[in-house]
Order: sequence, then structure tokens, then C-alpha cells
Amino acid sequence: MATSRPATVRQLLASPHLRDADLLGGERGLDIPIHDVLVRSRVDREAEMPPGSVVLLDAATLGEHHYMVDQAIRTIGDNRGAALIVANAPSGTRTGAERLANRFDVPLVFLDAPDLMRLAQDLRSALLAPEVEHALTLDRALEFFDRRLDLRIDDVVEYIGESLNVDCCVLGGDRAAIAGTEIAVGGRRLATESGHYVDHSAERALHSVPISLVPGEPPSHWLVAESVTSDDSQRLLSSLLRLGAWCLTSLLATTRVNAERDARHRVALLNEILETRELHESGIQSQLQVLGWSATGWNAGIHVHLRGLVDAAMIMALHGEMAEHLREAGVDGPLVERNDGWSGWLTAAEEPTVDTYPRLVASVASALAAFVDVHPTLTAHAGVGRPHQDLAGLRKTLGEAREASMISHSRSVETSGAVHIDQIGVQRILMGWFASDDFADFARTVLSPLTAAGPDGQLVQTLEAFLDANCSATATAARLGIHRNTVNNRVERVAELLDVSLDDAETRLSLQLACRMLHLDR
Amino acid sequence: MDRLTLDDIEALCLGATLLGTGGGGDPYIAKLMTHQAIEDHGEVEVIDATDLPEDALVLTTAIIGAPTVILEKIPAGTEFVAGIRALAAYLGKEPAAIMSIEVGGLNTLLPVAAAAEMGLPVVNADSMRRAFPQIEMTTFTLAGLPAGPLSIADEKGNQCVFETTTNQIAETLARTAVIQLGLANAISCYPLTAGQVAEHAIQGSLTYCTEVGRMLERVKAGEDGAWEAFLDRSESVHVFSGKVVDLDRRTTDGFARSTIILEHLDDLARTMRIEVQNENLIAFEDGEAIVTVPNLICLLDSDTFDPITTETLAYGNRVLVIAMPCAPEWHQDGMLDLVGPRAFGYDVDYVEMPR
Repeated sequence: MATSRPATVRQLLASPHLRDADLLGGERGLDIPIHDVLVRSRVDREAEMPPGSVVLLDAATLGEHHYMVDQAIRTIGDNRGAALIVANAPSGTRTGAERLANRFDVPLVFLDAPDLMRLAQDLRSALLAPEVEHALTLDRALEFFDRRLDLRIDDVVEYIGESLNVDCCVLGGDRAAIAGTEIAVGGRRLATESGHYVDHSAERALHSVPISLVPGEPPSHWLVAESVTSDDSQRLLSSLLRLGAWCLTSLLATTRVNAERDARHRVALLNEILETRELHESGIQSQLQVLGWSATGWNAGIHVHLRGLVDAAMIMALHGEMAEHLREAGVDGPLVERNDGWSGWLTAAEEPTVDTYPRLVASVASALAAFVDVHPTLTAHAGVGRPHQDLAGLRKTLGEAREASMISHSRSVETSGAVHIDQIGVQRILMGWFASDDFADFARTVLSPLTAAGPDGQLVQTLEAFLDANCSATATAARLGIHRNTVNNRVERVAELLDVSLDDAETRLSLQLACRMLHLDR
Repeated sequence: MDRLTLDDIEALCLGATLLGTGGGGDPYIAKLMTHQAIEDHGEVEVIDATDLPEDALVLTTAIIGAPTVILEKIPAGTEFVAGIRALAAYLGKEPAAIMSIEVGGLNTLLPVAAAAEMGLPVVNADSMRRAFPQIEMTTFTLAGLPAGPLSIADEKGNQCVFETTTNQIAETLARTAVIQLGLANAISCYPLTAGQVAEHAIQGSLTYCTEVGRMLERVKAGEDGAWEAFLDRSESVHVFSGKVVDLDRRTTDGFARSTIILEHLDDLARTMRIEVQNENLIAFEDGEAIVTVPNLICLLDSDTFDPITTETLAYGNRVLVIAMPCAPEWHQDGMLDLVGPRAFGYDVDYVEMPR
């Protein structure tokens, strides 16, 4: 913890070096901040000194010239100095000096100091000790941050917290801690521009320094600390947080660059597996080995389809997290960033039996549940493919997984979940057809009167729910949370708008497929 | 002024106390001696130096020592004439007139008494027109005129005559002799011709001193406009009215040193500090020098307007502080080296008269 700085004359007088000193006057100036200690044998009216100077006057050489003490007081008063310490003053009247000290609010201190140089050094040391401590603390921090090749974000946060005995953590863009002791910042203000900001809105001051990986962009993280208010330690805290933020910027940027590089490798390899007409087996195998992956044996593909406000950067940023969730659920295999989410697979030497499929689906589903629990604004649908052998099989199972994820998504937009390709049954047969562009056009055309009449999709939603509920108005009303008569009204309106009869089975099938298509199209 | 009569003595004495600028010795005894001499020997003729033949010898007399000693060790009265005669005998020439070297303090009047006793005229001039503590602090020194040969005489009949090479050595030798002879002795120095006096002395000092004294008498009598007239005639400035809140007296190196601290009568926060070496030499207000030697710093009793000497000043006295300009003859090359603040050891620059 920082040494307490004798920031005022009052504090300096309390130091052991001035224990035997007499304060003769100028009490009103005791709380003037001190900036330096000057040693002088004379202070005449022309003497220059910076504001906040404590002047140590060697009076042993003054002889009869006591008036010089008066002159010094006046000069210090005029220059907004902090105090006059008169050492080894000869005996004589002090009334004039005392009166002047009171008039100009210059604390006037008399003391005997056989070793004046020593006293001067002690006073300066006492004054500068916090500066020295400050510099040494920063130097040690720099040494710590700079020397360790394996430095992690947690190390930086822990170091700052322990150095100043404060709670310290790194917050992500969503204000949740990603390292260190979680600090509940709630709606408190955080630094927006470079530099240190202190929010005093609560009992404990909240210090924050922003971290922007790209200059000019809004901060992606914050290094924050909470401390009780104290000017001395706040200054050091500010310096240390800024130094730490600088170090964290470097670490986070390195992490991001590494993640981007790895993602690029993964995506390129997967594209080669999926897109190339003729597989160059040996080349791909060696690349798989570089990444520590394998496709030799029986591969079961998994595709996670992510919905919400999602972009490529987010998919990349969440890659590690999703991989971790899958690993925790026992699905420990390669995972690669895709446009809509991630693709991965599990490789087994022996062909997995059919009874293992539900276990895999359940594992994936639990991983997704854990994931969306942390990210409530997102939904995730996973599809799992059948096990197929080797590279060609990998391409096939990944295709199946993707199909399954799309069907899973088309069946349930709001809730996350996983489905195996075999669970889809007949839907899968239709998949290839209704996923085609022709059918997409057909579906849009057929349903266009409904979307035109109600842009909020209310009629399409009611129609789909009605068809899914085997044309039961009661079940539909219960599912949609509306009155049965409303359902009937809407269904009648749909039949009217589309100019069809819902009593016809083929019509119902066509319309149900068209509704499914719209989900995929969304 | 042609003659100095008994009627002039009071005014001359009052003016001399004022010009003593806190030192110069209390002129009371000198006043009594002069009174006695005039009663015994008649009025004294006051002349200008130009009234004398150019080569006529003008001799001076003064008391030298410590003012605090002079206050108690009353002169016998014989040593002043004895000293003049000793120097005249050494020079082998009789003086045509007597002159004061220091119109300020008791040395203003002693030459008058001596002149009366010797039946000689007194020259209306001096070399300081205020009191200074050392014999080289004269306009004669500025003119390069020697203080020697000089004589020292005591009340018992001891006498010595020095030849000196510089006026500073004259001061040193005289001071050394005086310390051995009881710190209150007669000195006769600066034996000059009437022509030298006419050229280098401060002319009209006795008249000035008497005039200022008379004006102060009118102030003391409470006459309307007398105070303003006094300030106007003497070109003085009233710089402070205060009460003595501290007084530190110490005698070091043969000088009576004092520090006077005054608290302003109206604005209690204002403080004046007056540094004294026999005479009042520097006045500081709130740490800033506002009047410095060779200009005069005079303290007057705020009720009676009597000039106050440092020896009689006491805690609680209420005083008016006035700054008076020194004689214009001082303003020539070498003034500050000889009688400026630094000549007295103060690390303070000379300041012009306050307005």
C-alpha cells in the first residue's frame, strides 16, 4: 500500500523529524499542500520559489539580522509558499515574525537542528517518499508484466489487486467479469475514453480504465477496481490500472489475433473437406494432423445453427465457449466456425451403434442449453448426422447434421434444441425438396396474401399452429394463448384470402410445407 | 540667525532630539551645559563658513561613546574644550570657529557650549544633519577630507591625538581609546579650513534644526495646522502609528542594537519592525523595507509629539513614525557605500523616501 504523503504542513509537522519544533504562528496555513522543500540561507524579497514550497531557513548565519525572517515570511506569503522553518535561530524577539506569520498565513516553525543538511534530507525524503514508492510500485509492475512470457489476464488482475489490496477485475462488453474478483458495477459509470475514470456514486469508489483493441473503437473491455476513497492510493491505483490496461490490451489483442488465425485455418480446412469435388486425401489428412484432429474412422457430424444478433466476429469470439460447453457435455471433437454457427464431429474407431445416437443428441442438447443460459438473447439449434467412414463420410455426416439443424430450427424457432437426422423421418425426405429455391419461391407466392394482409405474421402463425394441431381450434387457441373464436375467425380469413378449402388434405399439406419453408427463409 | 540665545536653546534641543533619529544621545544634559555656558560667557555668535577667511581653522567637538553610558556618566564639562585645545596645540594653530560634526542628538549642543566657553563663534553647518554612530559617516568623508589628526579627551584630563590614514581607521582608533576611557569622551576631529567647510559641509544645519524644533513646539502646543506645516517644511511623511508590542535591546560590538515591533493602532494586523543600531536605521512594514538609512526614521510620542529616543522607548508606548529625507548634500557618489543599509551590515537595498 502506498506510503502516506505528508501533503500538508500539518502532516509534515506531525512527522518525527519535526517533533521538537515550535509552531509560532500561521496556523491558518497548515493545510496548504506542500510541493517541495527548499533549503535557503537567505530569502530576500526578490527570491523566487514555486507555490507550495516549504522553506528551510538556516538562521545560524543570520546573526543580528532577525528581520530576514520577516522578509522570508512576506516573500513566502507573496509566492503562495507553504511554510517557513527557521532552524537554529539566535535568541531575540520573535514577535514581529509571529505577527507576520499570522497576517500572511504562513506557518512559522522554529527548531534546533544541529545537522541542518540531515534535516533537509529527511524532510525531502518524507515528502518524496510517496513519489518514490509510486515509481517503485510501477517499476515492479512493469517488471512483472514484461518479463513473463506466459502472462495471463488473470495474472495481471491478481497482481494489481494484491499490490494495492483492492478488488480488481476485467469486465467484458456486457459488463460481466471475465477475470478477477467479480465487481457488481450495475449501472455505474465506466470510463469511455482513454484514461482513468472514478465513479463516486457509491460508498466504494469504482475505478475503471477502458480497453480498446482497435484505437478509436468503443472499449471492448474494462479493467476496474473498487477502493475506499483515499487520494494517495487513488493516484497509484490510477497509474497501476492504466499500466495494467495497457498490458491487457496487448494480451487480449494477442488472444484475438491467435483466435482469428486458428479460425482461419479451421475454416479453410473444413471448406476443403466440404466443397472440393475430389478429396486430396493426403493433403487434408496432414492438415488435420496439424490441428490435432482426425477423420480416420467413423465420424458423426454435428452442426450448431445460431440465431439472434449474430455476426462472424461473434461466432469466432464464442467459439471457445461453445467448444468448452460441448467438451463438458462429453462431446470432445473438432469445432469449426461457419456462417450460421459451428460444425464439428466426433470420430470413433468402431462404428457407433444406433442406440448411442440419442445419447449424443442429449449431450449436444445439454451443451446448447448451458450455452443459451449464458446468452439469453441467442437461440441455438443443433443437428447430428449418422456416423460415416473417413473423409468422404465426414463430408456426408456434416451435410446430414446441417440438414437436421435446419429442420430442428424450422420446427421450433423460439426454443433451442438438438435433433438427430434419423429423428426427422419423413421430414427429411421433404427436406431436399422444400429447401430448394423453387419451393422457396412457391411458398412465398402461396402465402403472400397472408403476409400482405398481416405483415406481423399473425395469420401465417395461426395457420401453421392450426395445421400442426390437426385443425383443432381449441388446441391452437391454447397454444397461441388466444380465444378459440379468434382462431376460427383467422382460419376463415386465411381460407378466404388464399381462396382455398382447408378441408382438402392436399391443400393442408402444401400449406404446412409452405409455412415450414418460411421459417427457413427468415 | 546671528546669535544663539537662551531662547533658542529649547527649540534647538527639540530639533536635535528629532534629528537624533532615536539615537545621538539624549540632549538634555547638553542643553543644561549650553544653558550654563551662555549664562556664564554670553550668547554665541552663529556664522556661515564663508564669513571666515578661507584658511581660518575650524575645529569640532563631540561626545563619543555609547549613548546608554552617556546617560549615566555625566560629562565633567571640561573635556570638550580640553580636546579642542589639545588638537589646536598639535596643529600649532588656534581655531577661528567651532563647528558641530553631527547636528542630531546631544552633539548638536555641546559645540555651542564649548564655543561660548572659548568665546568663539559657531559655524552654522555640520557633516551629517542627523545622528550617525560612526565618525567616518560624514559628507567630509564623501569629499575625501580626513578625520585626522584627531584628539580624544576624558573628564580626568587624559588626552591623546591620533594621526590616521583613513577615516575608517580614525573610527577604529577613536573607538578603541574610548572603550578604555569609559565610553563617554570628548573627540575633536575633522580639523578643516573655513574654505573646506564652506565647500563640503551641510550648510545651515543649526538653523534647520532650530526651525524644525520650533515647528514641533507649535505641534506640541496644539496649534492648528502645525502638524501639516511641520511635515511640509521637513518634507517628512507620516508612515505608521503604532503601539510598541515588543522591544528587544542588546549591546554588541560597542553598539546599542534594538528591534522595535509596533502594532498599528487602527489596523491591528499591520506590523512595523524598526531595526536600530544606536539610531533607527530601517523600518519594515509587514516584512518589506519602507524607510532606510540615510533617510531618517523618527518616533514621536503620539500624545505629546515629543521625539522618543531608543533608550527611553518602552513596551506599550504609542508612537507616530515619520520618515524624513536626509540632507540633500548626502546625495552624491558613495553615499550608499558609506551610510546606506549595507554599510550597517543589513542585506537590504536602499529605498527612496515613501510618498
